[in-house]
Amino acid sequence: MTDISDELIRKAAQGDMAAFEKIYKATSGFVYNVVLRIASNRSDADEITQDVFVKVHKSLDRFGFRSSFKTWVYRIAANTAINHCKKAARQDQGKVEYDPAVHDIAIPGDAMAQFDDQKLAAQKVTSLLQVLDPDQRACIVLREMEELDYKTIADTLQINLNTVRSRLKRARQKLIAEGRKE
Amino acid sequence: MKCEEIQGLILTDYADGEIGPETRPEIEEHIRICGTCRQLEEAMRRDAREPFKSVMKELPPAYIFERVKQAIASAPKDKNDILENVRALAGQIFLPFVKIPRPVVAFAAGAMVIVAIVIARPIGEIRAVDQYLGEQASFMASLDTADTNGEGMFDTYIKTGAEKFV
Repeated sequence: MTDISDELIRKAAQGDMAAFEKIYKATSGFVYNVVLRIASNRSDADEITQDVFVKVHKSLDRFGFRSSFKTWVYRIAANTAINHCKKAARQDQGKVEYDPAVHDIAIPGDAMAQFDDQKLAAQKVTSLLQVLDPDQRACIVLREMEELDYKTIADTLQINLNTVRSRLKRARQKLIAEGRKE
Repeated sequence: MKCEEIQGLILTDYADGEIGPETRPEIEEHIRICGTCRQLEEAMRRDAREPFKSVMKELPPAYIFERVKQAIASAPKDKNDILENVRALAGQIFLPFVKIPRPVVAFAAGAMVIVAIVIARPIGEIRAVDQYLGEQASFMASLDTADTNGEGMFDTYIKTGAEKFV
């Protein structure tokens, strides 16, 4: 992520949309990937990502500069996605889509064969994540895809280190059990 | 370490590089000699880690930022916003007090109350004021009681004569 200065955050908090756009450009990549993997469905991911940035914009003036800005944005993204999934599960609207859209995947050149591999890999990850509950899914995504350490995951999700460990352990036990079925 | 403990670490700290360099060789040696733990470590890598490594990161569709801008522009400046501002202002004003430990705040508040009482009631006057207030309270309590037949002190005085109160 490009460094985001305190000055840029202050400007965006005062309503400077150009400053906010710079923040969006620097953070939207990881926000979208976290949200997409936790939500497992592209149209929900679009909606949640939009929601995340509206919340970020609204809360910028309350960002205390005491913690990392990236962790703060991760927290909003992960919590918004988790809450969305839990709400969808309660309403029995959870749905799985295998639709890695052609337009947004970074394809090197015309390597269609590689793209097909990517498509399969994305489908596999989507189906694996579906066996986890939203809290476990968030831990796995932050660890495996964003490569955050345990402390940052704990700070992001506002849980303690042992909860991070136990969620990862249970999630991986489920993933291994899923692998044995294949 | 027993297998159960090793397996817990294989699924967490060992896999994620969160383990200290002093413990790692012990786990590696255990995995080398224990078939069950070795199988778990292989399954962990194959089924729970590698699938995530081969997925490319994606970029959000371009229209999302346009939608974000629209949502921000159309956000109503309603009562909630005003309340939010008041809350934020109150937070800024009281933030220094929030940082002071609660026992200190309680002690300071108690001390302020005691000082206020002492200032409001000079010690020399306290007894005289208490005595006066006590007499007045007794007098008021005797009004409109059985002693006065519900007629009030003045009426009773008229009827029974001043000697009752001498």
